[in-house]
Amino acid sequence: MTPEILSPAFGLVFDPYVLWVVAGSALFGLFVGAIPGLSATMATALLVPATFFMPPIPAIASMVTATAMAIFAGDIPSCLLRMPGTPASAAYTDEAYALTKKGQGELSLGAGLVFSVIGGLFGTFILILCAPLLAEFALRFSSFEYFWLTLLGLSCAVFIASGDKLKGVISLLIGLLVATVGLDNPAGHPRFTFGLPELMGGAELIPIMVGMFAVSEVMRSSISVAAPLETAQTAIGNVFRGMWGLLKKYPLQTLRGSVLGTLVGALPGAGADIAAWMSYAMSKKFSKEPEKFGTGHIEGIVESGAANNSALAGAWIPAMVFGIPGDSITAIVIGVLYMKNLNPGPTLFVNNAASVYAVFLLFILANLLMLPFGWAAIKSFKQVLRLPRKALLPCILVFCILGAFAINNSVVGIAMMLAFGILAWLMEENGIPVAPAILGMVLGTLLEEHFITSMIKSDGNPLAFFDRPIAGTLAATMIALIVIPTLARLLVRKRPA
Amino acid sequence: MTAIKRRHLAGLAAGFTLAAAGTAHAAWPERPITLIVPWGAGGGTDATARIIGSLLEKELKQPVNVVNRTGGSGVVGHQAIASAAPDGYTIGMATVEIGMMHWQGLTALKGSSYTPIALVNADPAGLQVRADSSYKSARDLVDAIKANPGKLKSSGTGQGGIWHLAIAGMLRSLAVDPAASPWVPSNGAAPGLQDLVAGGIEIVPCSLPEARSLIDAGKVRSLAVMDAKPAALYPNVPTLKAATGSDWTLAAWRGIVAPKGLPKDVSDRLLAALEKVHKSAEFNDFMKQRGFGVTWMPPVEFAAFMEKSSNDLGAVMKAVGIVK
Amino acid sequence: MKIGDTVLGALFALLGAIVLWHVRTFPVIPGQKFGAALFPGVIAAGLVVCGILLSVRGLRQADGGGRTIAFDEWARDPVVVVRFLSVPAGLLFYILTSNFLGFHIAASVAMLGWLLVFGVRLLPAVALAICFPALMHLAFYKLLRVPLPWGLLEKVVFPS
Repeated sequence: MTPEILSPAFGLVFDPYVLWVVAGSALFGLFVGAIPGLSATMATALLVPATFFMPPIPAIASMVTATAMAIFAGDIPSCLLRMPGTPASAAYTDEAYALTKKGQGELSLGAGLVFSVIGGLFGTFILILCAPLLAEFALRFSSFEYFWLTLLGLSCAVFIASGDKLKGVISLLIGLLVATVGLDNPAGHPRFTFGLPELMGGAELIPIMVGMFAVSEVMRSSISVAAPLETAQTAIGNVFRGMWGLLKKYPLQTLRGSVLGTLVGALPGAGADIAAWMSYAMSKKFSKEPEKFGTGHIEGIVESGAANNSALAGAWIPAMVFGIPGDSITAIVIGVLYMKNLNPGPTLFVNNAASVYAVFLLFILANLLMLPFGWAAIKSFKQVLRLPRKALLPCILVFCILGAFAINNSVVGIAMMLAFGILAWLMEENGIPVAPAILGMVLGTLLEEHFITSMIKSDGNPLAFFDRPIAGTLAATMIALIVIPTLARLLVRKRPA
Repeated sequence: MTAIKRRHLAGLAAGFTLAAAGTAHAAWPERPITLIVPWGAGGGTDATARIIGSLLEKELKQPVNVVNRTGGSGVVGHQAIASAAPDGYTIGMATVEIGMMHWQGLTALKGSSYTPIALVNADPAGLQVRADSSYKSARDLVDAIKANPGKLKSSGTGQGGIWHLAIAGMLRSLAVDPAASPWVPSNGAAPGLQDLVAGGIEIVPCSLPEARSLIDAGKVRSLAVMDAKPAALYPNVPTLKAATGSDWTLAAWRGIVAPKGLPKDVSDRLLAALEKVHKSAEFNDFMKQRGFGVTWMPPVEFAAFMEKSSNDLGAVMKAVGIVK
Repeated sequence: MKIGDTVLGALFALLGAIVLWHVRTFPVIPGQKFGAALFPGVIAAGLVVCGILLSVRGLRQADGGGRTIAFDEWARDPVVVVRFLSVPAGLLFYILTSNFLGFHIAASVAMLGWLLVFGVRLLPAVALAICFPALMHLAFYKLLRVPLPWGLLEKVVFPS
C-alpha cells in the first residue's frame, strides 16, 4: 500500500457527503438488523434503489456500513428477547439469553459488540493483505469439497447439543427433514408441499427461527406473567466494562473465531450464519470448561461473535477478485459494482486501485464506528425492557408477526412461525434441544445439493469424494474428528483396568 | 393434488376479480404500486425490476415497491402476480420460466394467465468452458460430446432449468442425444461457474452477463452465443449458427405483466409510462453497465412471443424427459 | 406437557415411517439411479432408528415415567391455561383475519386480547393496542416498505 494510492483513497472516503451516507446507513443497518425477520441481506437490497443515484464510493460505503451494523445488531434482540435479529446470531442466541437471565446482559451485549468489531477488523486486514491468494484457494472448491465442509458443519450439532445426545440427534434429524420441504432440490421435485404453492419455496428459515426461539419463549413466559421478567431487572450500564479482561482471557478464541469466520466467509455459498455455528461448536470443543456452555458462558459468544463479522469481510474476497459472491449480500454488491463501472475482477485492483483501497478504508471506518453506534443502539433498545412483562409480551408477539411476514410478505410465514413455535415449546418441555434442528435446517439443503451433484459428476463413484486434494484433506479431518475422540475414550477406559 | 390446487386457485382468482369489479380506475394510480419479483434480491431479475420500479415511480408519481416472492423455481412469485387483484396496484415481472413450469406439472399458470404489458429484456444463452480447456470452438465441443457421451457434464441452473434446456436443445438440433452431456443441477449460474473453474464440470451454458466477471478475469471462455446475432457485450463471440450451422436460439427473457383482467385504461396508462422508462437514458445506461440485452415488445407481440417461447421449450423438455 | 420417552420415541418412529412410505412415490433424476427420495429417505430411516432407541430407553426407566403423558402444575389453574392458550390463539386470529381486516385492526385486536388476558387494566391496554401497531406501521410500511395489508382501512385511506 503506497502513499500514492492511499492519499487519493483517503480523499475519496473522508468527504463530507460520504461521511453523511456512512452515518445514515449505520443507523439504517442497526435498525434493520435489530428487527427479527429483516436480515442483513434485506438491508442491502433495500439500499439498492438509493445507490442508483449515488457516485460509486458512497454507494459502496452505504452497503459496507449497513451490513456490518446489521450483523452486530442481530445480537441485541437475541440477547434481550431470545429472538435472533439475523440468522447469523442464531448460533449463540440461547447462550446470550441465558447470560441475560443470570443478570449479565451487559457482559453479553458488550462482548457481542466489541468482538464483532475485532472480528470485522481482522477480516478486513485479511481482505487487504491476501485477497487474491485466498480467492484462488476458494475457487478450487467444488461440490466434493463443499460436501465435506457441510458434513463438518453438521457434526457441530454433536458438540452444541448439551445433555441428552440421542435427543440431540433426533432434533437434528427433524431439522434436516424440514429442510427437504419444497421444490428447490437437485431433482426439482416438489416434496412435502401438501399441494400448497407457498410451500414450494421450502421452509423459510427466518419465520421458523422466530417461532422456535421467540414464540416458544413467550408461550413459556405467559404461564407466569405476574412474575417479574428477569431481563427487565437487569441494569445495563457500561457495556464496555470487562472487555479488556475478556480479550486477555480469550486471545486464542478471538483469533480462531476471526480466522475461521474469514475463511468460511470467503467460500462462496457459506456465509456469516454458518461461520457462527462452526465457531461456536469449535469453541465448545476446545474449551477448558465445555460443561458451562449453554448455561450462560461468555466464551462461545466471544468466538462466534467475532466469526460472523469477520465472515462479512471474507465474503468480499471472491466477490472483488472474481465477481463470485461469497454470500447473498455480496451477490447484491457485485451488481452495484457493475452498475458503478467498478467491474469486479483482477483488473479492478490494477485499474481502480484508489477505489479498492477506499473500500478497504470504508471497512475499517465502518467497524470502528460500530463502537459508538452500537453502544447507542444497545442503550435505546433496552428501554423496551422497562415495560412490565405483561405489556411487553404482546408487543413482542406483534414484532414476531411483522418479522415473519416481512421476509416474504406472506401470511404463510406467520403460520410457519406459529407451528414451529408450538413444536419448539413441546421439544423443550421434553428435553429435546432446539439448536441442532436449526443447524439441520441451515445445512440440510446444502448437504443434499452437494452430495447429489457430486454423485452425478462422478457417475456414481463414491471414491471421487476422496480424489481431489482439498476434498481428501477435508475428509481426513472429518474422519479424524470422529475417530480420535473414540480412540481416546477407548484408551482412557483401558488404562485404569 | 393438481386438480384440487387448480380448483382452489380458480376460486381465489374469481373471488379477487369479484372484489375488484366495480371499482373506478379513472385516476389510476392513486396509491402505491407493488411490483412482484419471483426471484431473490440481488439477482439480475431483481436488479432489472428495481431500476424499472424506481423509474416508474418518477413517471407515475406514486411509490413503486419491489417485493421479492421467491422460491419453488419461480412458482411462488408468478402465482402471487396471477392471483392478485387486477386493479393495477399489483404488477409483476414475469420471466422465461412461466413457459416451462406448466410442462413440469408444477402449476397451471402460463403466459396467457396474465395481462401482458411489455417485454423489456432478453439475454441469449452462451456456451462457456474453462479458459484452459482444449475446446477452442463450439464445433470442437460438440464433437467431443458426441464422441464421449456422458463424459462432459454441464451445469448452471436447476434440473430442467432454462440453461439445461439451452444445451439440450442445441445438442438436439445438431442430432446429438441431449443426454450425452449430463446435467448437474446447481443453485443458479454463479455456483455453476464456480464449479466450472474448480474443475468439477466442463460446460456452463448460461448467459453472457452472468459469466462476464469470470470471462474478464481470464478464467472462463465463451465459445458461442445462441442468438441470431453476436452480443453487444462480446462482439467477438460467434453465433451458434456461425460456429456449428445450428439454427437453435434461446434467450432468458423478462417482461412486465399484470393479473389477468386488467382494465384497458389502466393497462394503456401503464404501457405508456413503461415505454417512457424503457426509452430513458437511465434505464439504457443501467442495462448497458450490467451487460443486459434491451428489447421491447408491446402487449400483442409479447403475448405471441410468450406462446412461442412456451412451445419451443416444451418440445425440448419432452426430449429431455422432464415433461410430466 | 411432559411426554414420556417411550411415547415420544414411538411418535418419532411413526413420523419416520410415514415419510419413508411417502417418498417411495418420488421420481429419480432422468438418467440417474437416485432422485428426490434419497435424502428424505435416509433422514426418515434415521428417525425410525432413533425413535425406537428412545422408546426402548423409556421402557427401561425404573419409575415407569417413560410411558406416561403428564401435565404440569400450572395446567390445573384455568386462568393460567387461558393465558397460555391466548398466545397461539391470538396468532391464529391474526393469520386468519389480517388480509380482510388489515394489519392495523387485526394487530390491535390481537394485542388488546393479549393485554387484557395478561392482566393489564383496560385503559392502558387500549392505548397500547392502538399506539404500538401504529408505530410499527410507520417503521415497517413507511420506512422499510413492507407491504402490510390495509384490509378494511383501504377504502378509508385511499377513497376512490
